[in-house]
Amino acid sequence: MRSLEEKQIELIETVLQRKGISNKDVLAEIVDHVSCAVEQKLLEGLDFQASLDEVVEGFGENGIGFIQQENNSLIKAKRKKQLWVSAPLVVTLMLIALVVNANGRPNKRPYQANLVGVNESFSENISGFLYDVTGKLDIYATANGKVEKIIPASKTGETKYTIILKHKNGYKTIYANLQIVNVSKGQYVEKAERLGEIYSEEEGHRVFFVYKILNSGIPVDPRSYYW
Amino acid sequence: MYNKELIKGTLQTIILKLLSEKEKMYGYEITQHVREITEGKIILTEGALYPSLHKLEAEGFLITEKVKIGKRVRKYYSLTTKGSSSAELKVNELVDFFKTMKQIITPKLSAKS
Repeated sequence: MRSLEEKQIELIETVLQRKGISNKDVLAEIVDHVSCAVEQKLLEGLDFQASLDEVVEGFGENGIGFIQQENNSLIKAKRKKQLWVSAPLVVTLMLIALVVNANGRPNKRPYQANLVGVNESFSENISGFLYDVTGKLDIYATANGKVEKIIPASKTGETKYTIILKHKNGYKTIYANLQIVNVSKGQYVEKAERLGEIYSEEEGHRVFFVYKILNSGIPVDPRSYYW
Repeated sequence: MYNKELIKGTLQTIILKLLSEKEKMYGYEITQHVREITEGKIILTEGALYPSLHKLEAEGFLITEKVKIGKRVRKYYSLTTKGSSSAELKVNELVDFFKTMKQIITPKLSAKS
């Protein structure tokens, strides 16, 4: 089979770009596809331009639009995944926990108050609390609910877990970066029940615990809730 | 050529089945192969095939390998282990579906005595 010249391939690329394929990988793949189809038409006796026109016409306007559209959504999904790997903490926050308080809202602290060595701060970035921990911290459910998900994430050989509780009235709570998990998926937990533990391995070494409340999927400022 | 909707529902099964037989294929090759074995009765459009391939890849049923051919890059698809088992399941499901459809479409000989 006669192979296309470089210039012809470049032309195909330009035509496809003009048709709206912008993703580099997809473009390369469709360029190869169109090149194959054009080569076939050349064999059947058409000249290059006529072959190209026919192939591109065969796609239809919608055909190309569809390829591109589908890919945009896949690329978005992929990006989200990458974020998980590169920043488990942020990702954890993006994953949403479902938990609803029997009385309505999750309104308890996720740990025993007045512990030494725990520094609580509100983070705008994650719309939740960040706890700077030295030593050991037991984590408790902040409302009655059901364990919706337990998500492991491995980083530098160590696996940490994110627990997502689903509560009544559209609330979920998220507890991230736990090293020990004492509940299992599908289990019903009560307010103040122990969920797991986070600890720093060596003295002076700090670890971070993240707590977040979602109302119908939207992060809310836990400070506006009764503690 | 058949109604698009008919093909749409079976496209993933077609792809998985072909790859379970051919080991690795690229997009254009898949369209040609399907055209040949169905004698032109099924023609996969690019607008349906590629999104489907990309989705199967994203979901872990297929893995890809890129091979440079001159200035072109050819993307080959092959089944993952998950893809292989899914191919078998989906084919079986489809065969069963055909049987069921036949029950609906073929007028039953009345069993009344």
